[in-house]
Amino acid sequence: MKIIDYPNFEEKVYQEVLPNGLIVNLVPKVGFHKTYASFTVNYGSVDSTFTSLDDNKIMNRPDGVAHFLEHKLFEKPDYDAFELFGQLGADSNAFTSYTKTSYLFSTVENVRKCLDTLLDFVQFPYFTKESVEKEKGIITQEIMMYNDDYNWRLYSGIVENLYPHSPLSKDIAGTVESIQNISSKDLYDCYQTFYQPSNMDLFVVGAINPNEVIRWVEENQSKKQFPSAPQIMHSKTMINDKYDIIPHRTLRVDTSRPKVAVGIRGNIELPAGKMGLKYKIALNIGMYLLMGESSEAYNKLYNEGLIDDSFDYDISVGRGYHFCVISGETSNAEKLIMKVMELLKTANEAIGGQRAEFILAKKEFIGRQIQSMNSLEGIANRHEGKLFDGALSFDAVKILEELEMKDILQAVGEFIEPDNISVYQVLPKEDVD
Amino acid sequence: MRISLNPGVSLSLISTKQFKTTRIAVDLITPLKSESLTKRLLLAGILENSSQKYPSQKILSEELARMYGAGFGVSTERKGNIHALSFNLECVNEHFLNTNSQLLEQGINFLKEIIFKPLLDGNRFDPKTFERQKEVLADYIGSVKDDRQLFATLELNNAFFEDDGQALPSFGDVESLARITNEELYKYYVECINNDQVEIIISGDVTVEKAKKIAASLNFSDRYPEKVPLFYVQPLQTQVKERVHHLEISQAKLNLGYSLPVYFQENKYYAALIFNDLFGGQPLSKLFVNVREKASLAYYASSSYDSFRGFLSVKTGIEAKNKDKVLQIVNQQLEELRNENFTEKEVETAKRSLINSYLSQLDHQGVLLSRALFNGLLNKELQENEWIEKIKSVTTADIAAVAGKAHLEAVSFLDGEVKNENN
Repeated sequence: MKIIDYPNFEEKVYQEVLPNGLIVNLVPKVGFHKTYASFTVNYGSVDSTFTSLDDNKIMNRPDGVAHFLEHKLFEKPDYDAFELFGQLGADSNAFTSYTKTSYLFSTVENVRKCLDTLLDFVQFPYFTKESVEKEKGIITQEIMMYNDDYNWRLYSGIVENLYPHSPLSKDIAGTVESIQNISSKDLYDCYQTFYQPSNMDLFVVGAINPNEVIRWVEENQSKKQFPSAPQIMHSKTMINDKYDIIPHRTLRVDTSRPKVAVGIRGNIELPAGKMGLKYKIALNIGMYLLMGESSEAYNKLYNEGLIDDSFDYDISVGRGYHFCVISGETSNAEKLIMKVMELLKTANEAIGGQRAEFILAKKEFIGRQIQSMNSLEGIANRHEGKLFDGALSFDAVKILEELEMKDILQAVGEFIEPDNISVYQVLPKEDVD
Repeated sequence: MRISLNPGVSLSLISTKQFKTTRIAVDLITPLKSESLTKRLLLAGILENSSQKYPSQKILSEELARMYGAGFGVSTERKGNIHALSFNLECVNEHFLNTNSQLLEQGINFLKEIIFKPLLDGNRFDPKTFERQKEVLADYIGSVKDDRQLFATLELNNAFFEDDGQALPSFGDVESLARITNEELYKYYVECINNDQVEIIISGDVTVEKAKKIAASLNFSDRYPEKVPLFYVQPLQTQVKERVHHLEISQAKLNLGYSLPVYFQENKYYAALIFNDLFGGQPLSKLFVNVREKASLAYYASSSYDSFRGFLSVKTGIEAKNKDKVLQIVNQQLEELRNENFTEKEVETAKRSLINSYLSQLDHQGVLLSRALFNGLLNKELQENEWIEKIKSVTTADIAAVAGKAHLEAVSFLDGEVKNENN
């Protein structure tokens, strides 16, 4: 096993790649009671479209299939994985994002049995027509629940504006209509295509002995045969056309306060490996200096009553995409949009003038990274796998320490272009009488 | 470990090397009164965003950045019959940094500035800050309805509780907010500082001597606060109170409120925890399995138990037309628990799950702080083993007996239709 030592933080990471291609990361945490494990597939909602390398055909599956698969994987002919974890004293859960599906548990006892359960239930597909039909009712309710969440509508609205005609524009759970078309065959097909050990990784962190855990995992995996998987290629980019952004849309609903989102789409390809993480961090600091809580701009907007504590920016980076969403509730949507647009237009000048603030920002970001090492979930979930060449939150501190103002200006300069900006608003209904 | 510093002022220390951070909480505690709900929350907003030394949000945030991104917040919490105004600070242990800064000392000095030297204009808060925070709070209160789940919960709460302080949302209401004057609020804050019970809680790699020194440096004066019973007890209601709202909504919300007069750490408390776990406390519970999984009627169906108010609530997200069916299934689950219609295995699983989450929470520094606060208020500290033993010793009959005490008293229901919403 490869051991990466981080003496400054008194942490060690143990890494192994098993013969079947599965990547294993183990982080023991002294003094902790709990163990948290996540088993992740490099497969998410955007992979409803992919290229089959056997015949070079572009394959399409119904929207929402990755999320549907995640729901159904827990159910087995003779047991329910969720219940089994419960009987072992563990909590279990799963989530699907644009490019990943993760299955996880946390427990204070029976770590080995829990690990076996996790590996076994994810690596044994079983879907029937009946259970697929029944699940449609449950997922329909889930989609409807999100439908009532206007913050969610705001976020998905702006992402749809930024990436029209791409799978990113579709809800992770799909639509009430699209999931009706999902069959058990779709689930088996997608499973065989993506759930291969070499397309997955296992992360275990907490009250563990790494040497013991790796032996358990090896034993479990060596007993299994995996059918050879079809060769596929993930979509490389979510951008079809450089000029296809929808610049502006408005949704009117029964809400009391206007909500505004300004989105920026990164048109350049994300730098490979750890450089990608550096780019993401640089963008984050750039946005922090431009409109974070300690910026001049934030304070002005706040005191003018244009924004409140809900105002925030969020940078999202994944396989084939990266974008930023600036959003918040406001009393005056039009004016806030105008102010944010002005800020973006002169971003580099505004950021470049803040040398002293930059030093403080670095301190703050370093401190926050160290704070995040208190959380087992934080350590595991921040791991982006191949995207950042396996980088962990421990690596982010070093990147931060070495970061210079010119890195920020370069990242922001490449990122923000006038053509890549879009606006989405959720507004109260106009009085019709 | 809890130490009395001077009358009415105590320090609790949780000394541990488990975390990379040190946390300090200063809690000002007073009996809950409906008229001060909004006042305390408005105070939290003002104090979190300004002080004499850090007059703007920008300057204040920069000071936090200088302390390596220290986490800071002022918040309020209503628990049973008491109401807390809490100042919280989290800073990195400098052992993990390349620095000579003494972050804990810097942190405590920062807290001192915030608590004792607010940004004033004579005998009132800085008027600009006061007005802006009032506006922010009014906007927040006004937008609560936009969050349908929250709105359904607040309506249930309002229908269930007789006492205004409990029935109102924890943030109070717009009417009382509008009435608060700047002078009056500052006068109220001075009273809080001088008269409230003070609980200081520190967690991290800190010695007793250092913790004492730090806590004493805050220099809170002696005080003799009014003592009230910690738990809110309400007489049984004979009629079920119902609230119905029609809103534009794609998924209807049905929430149910039961009285469950079993209180924190008393004899039947552990049976009540298991009862709630079996009923709807987690995803393997009867509610989830029978309403969501078996009947495919809901996306969520769960229960939660407030042991400081003897209150059990159920929330569900359903299709409006299924309201009666869901109500019937929920009541049926309760009935089954009353009749001991559950297996040894289910009880075993519930016990394991509760022990798992109890021990897991020891890995969260924030939870350790709030546990220390409630232990302090009750003036007793339960050891981990004791807690686990008490859970393990609960019998089937104990659980059924607790289920028998749950009594439906309030219902809140939101339904409606979504029409032509796209532009």
